[in-house]
Amino acid sequence: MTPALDLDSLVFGWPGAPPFLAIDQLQIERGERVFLQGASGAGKSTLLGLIGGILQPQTGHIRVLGQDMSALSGRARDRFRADHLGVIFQMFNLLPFLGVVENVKLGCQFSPVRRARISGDGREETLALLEALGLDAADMAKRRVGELSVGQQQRVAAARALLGGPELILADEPTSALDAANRDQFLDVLLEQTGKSGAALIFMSHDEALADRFDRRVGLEAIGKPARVNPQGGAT
Amino acid sequence: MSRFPLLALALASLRARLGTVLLMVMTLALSTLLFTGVAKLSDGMRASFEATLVETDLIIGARSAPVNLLLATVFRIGDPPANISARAVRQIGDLDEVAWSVPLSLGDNHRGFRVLGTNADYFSYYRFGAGMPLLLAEGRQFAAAEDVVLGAEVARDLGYALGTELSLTHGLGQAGISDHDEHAFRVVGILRPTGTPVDRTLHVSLVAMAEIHGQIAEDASVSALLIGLANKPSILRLKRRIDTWPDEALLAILPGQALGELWAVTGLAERALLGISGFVIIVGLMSALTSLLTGLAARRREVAVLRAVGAGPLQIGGLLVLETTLIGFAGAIIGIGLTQVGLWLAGPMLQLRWGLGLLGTGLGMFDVYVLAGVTMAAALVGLVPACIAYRRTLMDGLDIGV
Ligand SMILES: Nc1ncnc2c1ncn2[C@@H]1O[C@H](COP(=O)(O)OP(=O)(O)O)[C@@H](O)[C@H]1O
Ligand SMILES: [Mg+2]
Repeated sequence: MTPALDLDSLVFGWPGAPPFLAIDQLQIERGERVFLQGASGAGKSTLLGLIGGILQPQTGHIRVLGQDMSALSGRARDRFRADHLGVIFQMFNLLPFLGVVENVKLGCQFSPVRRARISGDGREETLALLEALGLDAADMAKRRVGELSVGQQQRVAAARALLGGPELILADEPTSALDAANRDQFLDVLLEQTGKSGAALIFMSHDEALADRFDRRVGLEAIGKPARVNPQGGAT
Repeated sequence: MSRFPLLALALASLRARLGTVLLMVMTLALSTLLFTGVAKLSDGMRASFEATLVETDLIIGARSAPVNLLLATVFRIGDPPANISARAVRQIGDLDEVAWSVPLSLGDNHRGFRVLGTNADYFSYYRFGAGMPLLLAEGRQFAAAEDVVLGAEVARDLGYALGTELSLTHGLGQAGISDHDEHAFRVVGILRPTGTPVDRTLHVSLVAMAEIHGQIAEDASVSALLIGLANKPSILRLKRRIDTWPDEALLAILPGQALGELWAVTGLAERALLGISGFVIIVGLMSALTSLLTGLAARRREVAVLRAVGAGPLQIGGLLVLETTLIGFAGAIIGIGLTQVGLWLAGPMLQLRWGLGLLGTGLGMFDVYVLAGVTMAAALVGLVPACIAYRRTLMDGLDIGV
C-alpha cells in the first residue's frame, strides 16, 4: 500500500520571502502515529498547510495516500482534504454558532465519501465517538460550544477529525492549551481512537516530553534545514 | 444540515448574530418601505387621476392653460377663467362629429363642496374607472329646478338624506351672503361612491344654476363641455376647429394629453423623491457593509475551521454572500409587506382627508423587481467581505494565527 504521506525534495517559501522550509525525505506509513517535533516557528503549521493542500511547494512532491497534491486543482485539493484528512488545531476548533453535535458532523459535511461511511445523519456515530473520547455524550448534545472547557473542546475537535474514518489525522499542537492532566487524558483517547480507526496520525508539537507515546519521533529541524539562501532567510 | 451545508451554516451563523442581523434587516426593510411607498403612492394617485374621467374624448372651455381647464372641470380644483356662450354650446352640440356633449357649469360652493350645474346627459355619459357609469344609491336624478343630487361623500359628511332641504347661494357660500341670492333645494338623489371628485359634488340642473345666477337657462353660458365623438379619427381635426373658433376664444383638450402635461411637471418631483429613497436603500446597504466588515476579523477562525474540513475559497466566499443575500431578501420582503400594510391602513384616511383615491397599489411586478433588486444589491455588497475572505484563505495557509 502507498504510504500515508510521502514528502520528496520539498521546498517552500512564503510569497515574497526566501525559501523557508526544505524537507528532503519524509515517509509516514498507513496507521503510523508520528510525533513531529519542532520549536515554535520551525514551520509545523506551515507543513500542515502543505500536507492539507492549502499551500503549494515551490519544488518537490507531496504525496498523500499516493496522491500527488500538486497534480490536483485547488478545488480537487479541497475535496481531497475533506475526504481523507482530519485536522485538529491548537485552539478555536469549533464554530461558536453550531451545537456540539453539529460541530462534529461538520467533519463530514463537505465530503460525500466520508458521509457515506456513517449511517443516517451521523448522530449515532457522533455520540459514540464523543463517548469514546471520554465525554458525556448525552450532556454534550445539549451544550453550546462556548460552555465547554478547552479540554472538552479539543476532544470535540478530535471527534470531528475522526468522524467518517479519514486515513490521516493532522494535529497541530492540540495539547498546548491544556494543563498536564488534561493533556495526558487527551493524548490517551486520541491515540486510542486513531489506533482503533487505523488512521495515520501526525502529531505536531514542540513538547519533547510527549514523544515517547508515539510509534516514531521526527524532528523537523533534523529532516530539513531551512534553505538559507541569504543570512536573513527563514526560521529560527 | 447535510443537503445544503452552506445554507444551513449561513442560517446558523445569522441566528447566532441575531441582534446585528435584525438591525440590518430592519434598516433595509424601512428603506425598502420608503422606496416602494413613494412609488406606490405616486403611481396610485396617477392611476386614480387617470380613472376619474374616461371615455370623454374632448373637454372644451374658454381659452386658458390646458392643465387649468382639466383641473377645473375634472378635478374641481380652481375655476375656469371664463365661460362658453350659450350660442357656441349649441353650435358645437350640432357639429356632425359630436355624438354627445355634456355642459358643466361650475362656480358655487355649498359648505365646502362644489355645486355643479349640468343636465341629465351627465348621468348618461359620465364614465370613471374601467368605464363605470354613475349610479344612484337612493332616489332619482334631478328633474325640477329645486332638485339636487348629492355625491356620496357630500351626503355622508353633511348628514344629508333624501328630502333634506338646503339652500344654495351665489358666491362662495360659507358665510351666507344677502338673502335675495338664496335658493331652496331638496335632495332627490344620492349617488354611489366613485372614489372621484364626483363624490364631493352637488349636482343641480342648468336651469337651477342659471336661476341662482339670475340668468335665463337658454341664454346662460357654461364653464365647459364634455364631448364624445361619433368617429374617433376626427378628434384632432375637431380640436383644431375648436381652438380656432371664430366667435370666441375656445380651447379643446384631450384629457389624457392634458394629464400627461400635468405629470410632466409633477413627475420631476416624483423622480427626485424616488431617487432620494433609492439612495436611502444604498445607505442602508452601506451600513450593513460596515458591520459586516467589522465582524469579518472575528470570523477568521471560523474560516480556518471551515477550510480544514474541506471548504474551498469559493465556498467560504459563497457563505458570506449567501448571508448578506438572505439579509437583503428578508429586508426587502418585510419592506414590501410593510408598504402593503401601510397603504391598507392609510388609504382610507387619504381618501377621507384629501379625497385622494389610490388605485393599483396592490402587489405587482414592481414589487418583484424591488425584491430582486434589493436582494441582488445585497449580494453585491456581500461580495466585498467575500472577496476579502477569499483572498485571505488563499494566502493564509491553515494557521488561525492566535
Ligand atoms: N501567512 C503567512 N505569510 C507569511 N509568513 C508566514 C505566514 N504564516 C506563517 N508565516 C511564517 O512562517 C514561519 C513558521 O511559522 P509556523 O509554520 O506557524 O511555525 P510553527 O507552527 O512551527 O510555530 C514563521 O516565521 C512565520 O512568520
Ligand atoms: Mg504553529
